Amino acid sequence: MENILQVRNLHTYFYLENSVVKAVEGVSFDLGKGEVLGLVGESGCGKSVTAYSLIKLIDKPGRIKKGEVIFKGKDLLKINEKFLPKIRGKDISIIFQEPHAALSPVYTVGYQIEETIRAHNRNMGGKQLKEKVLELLVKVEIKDPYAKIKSYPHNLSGGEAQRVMIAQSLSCQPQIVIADEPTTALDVTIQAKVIGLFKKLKEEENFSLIFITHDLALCAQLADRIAVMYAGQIVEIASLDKIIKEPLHPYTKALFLSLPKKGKEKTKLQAIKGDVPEADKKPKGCFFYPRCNLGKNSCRENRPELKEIEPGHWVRCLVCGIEGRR
Amino acid sequence: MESSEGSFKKGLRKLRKHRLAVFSFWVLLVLYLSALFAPVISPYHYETEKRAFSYAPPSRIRIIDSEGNLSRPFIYKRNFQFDQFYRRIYQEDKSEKFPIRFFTRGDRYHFLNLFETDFHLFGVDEPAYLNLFGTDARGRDLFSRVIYGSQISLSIGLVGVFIAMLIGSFVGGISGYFGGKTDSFLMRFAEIIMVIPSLYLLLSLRSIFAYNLTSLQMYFVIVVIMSFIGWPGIARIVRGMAISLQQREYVLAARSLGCGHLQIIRKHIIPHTFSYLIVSASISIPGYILGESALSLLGLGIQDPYASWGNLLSDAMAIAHIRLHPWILIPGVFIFITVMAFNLFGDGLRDAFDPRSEFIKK
Repeated sequence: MENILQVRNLHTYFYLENSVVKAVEGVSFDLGKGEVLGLVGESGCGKSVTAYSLIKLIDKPGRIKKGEVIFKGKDLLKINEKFLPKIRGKDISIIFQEPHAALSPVYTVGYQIEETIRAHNRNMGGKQLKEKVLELLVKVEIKDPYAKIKSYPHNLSGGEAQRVMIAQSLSCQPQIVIADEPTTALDVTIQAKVIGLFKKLKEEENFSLIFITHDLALCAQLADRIAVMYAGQIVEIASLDKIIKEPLHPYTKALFLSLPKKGKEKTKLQAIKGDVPEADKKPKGCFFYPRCNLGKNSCRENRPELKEIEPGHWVRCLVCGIEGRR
Repeated sequence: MESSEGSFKKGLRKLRKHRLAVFSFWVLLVLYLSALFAPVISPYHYETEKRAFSYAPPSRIRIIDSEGNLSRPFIYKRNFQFDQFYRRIYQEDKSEKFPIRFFTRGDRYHFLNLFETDFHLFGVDEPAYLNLFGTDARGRDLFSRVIYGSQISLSIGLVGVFIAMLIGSFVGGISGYFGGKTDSFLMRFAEIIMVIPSLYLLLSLRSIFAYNLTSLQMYFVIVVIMSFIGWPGIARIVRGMAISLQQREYVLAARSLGCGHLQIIRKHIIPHTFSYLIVSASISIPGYILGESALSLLGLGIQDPYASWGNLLSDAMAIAHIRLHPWILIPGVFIFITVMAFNLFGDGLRDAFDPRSEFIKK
């Protein structure tokens, strides 16, 4: 598969007064054309910061310390700041977690979608814009699109607002859509509908999707490949099948063990002991070592690298790998 | 901070319950309408002078004539004699009644630069002289001059506040949005302007400009000076709001969708401060009116023969004049009424529309 985005060794740090929070420490992955990559991890593991770093939406005190984000042969982290607005929204767009917070309360829904289109197509006429907005709203299957164009975000339900966000992010036919926990603020029935909508839109528009979530089950419905993040690093990345059937990293395994399974409803779910290390107090060796049940002495001192254990299956662990499969 | 139709209507309903604010609103409406229709309402032109009526007291409008019969409102013509100090003593000549005529003809004028006419709402036939508020030293009708003066005094507040808001919200928006060094620089500059006592700043800025300006130039000079003094206060508050707005997710969303910085400031930061700006505008307009009055009172503002409430009051700077001709203080009453009305109306607006006032009540 042709890669559309290559992320290499991304480091994003937040420089606070007394400490440096290393939110993202060496994230690397590829995104194929038309592929859905699920980015899974606990709260605070750096999923969102990774996503924002891709289009350099990191504000002070945060800074992207090093790394490369290669899109269309160019490193987005190195190109001139003034070209970024031309890429954001047009080539790469983000869907946010809280649709009501991400829509401005003072403008109508139609106007906000128009604004995005206008930002990237200067010479589109008013009538054309209106038609385009309507077309987008129909595409995201919003009920009564004619009326919704003129309504304000607070007139919409959570699901509707999220559909508007999706319409807005798709308004310029982006090649990459980053969905930052797009269903977290919605209830389960609406979640299912939105996931269905994503599937449909992906068929129609053929964009690549980075789907960020903490919900493995949800991710499994949509993703082609899954990357599991822990404490600012990707610990395992593999195709959906592989990761479900043969998870290698102890963290991934533990995640699956903590999910309820069909037929085993009566058994107690296994929690992962301990907490995610605080971003400014990470262990010296493997970040997962304090919570790991495979950990050896060498893990305490040495940091593992992301290794390709078999084609397309990368794991960041010193212990597992071949041995761990047994 | 949702400025939708719903919350707007809610605010309007609250405003209607605020009786003083409603009353002030009507007072202001009457004042502004009379400023707009000043040439029609005032019986004479502001330049019309009748030296024979220097410092004539307000005309007595009578409805009962010398024979004790009820009649339509009328006045008597007045003549003066000198007393032993060569002061003029006006006496009514009761031989002839001069009824007050409505929709009559008088001095010619250009209405709003559109057409020329001599239509007046009311007036009396010559040689009687109708002076509701008396006359000034040169025998010009004070009522007419107060009405004409309101054109300048009332509009200077609106224009001045508008310009100050424009500069203030723009500078404040940039300052709060970008933060860092931009913020420090702009805010220190604003504070420098704020720490200088405003009257001295007003006077020293006035001295930058020439003294022999036409009345229109003078008007703009005053507006520019006043808004130069006024913007820092607005900028500081808008900055504070911009800092908090800049962290909202929709600002991040707008950036992620490719909006530039200035577009975000213009469309997603400043509009959210409107509820504050409108309230603060209505509260700060009196300052502009007073500032103009102060400049004109000191003879640095609007110059004779043009009238503004401030330069009308400059006549009242000598105590002797106030004692002998107390009616020359009437423009001050108008300033007082307008300032009070704006303050009360602004209070009402704030209670009704400022989102923070709700929290205070809870």
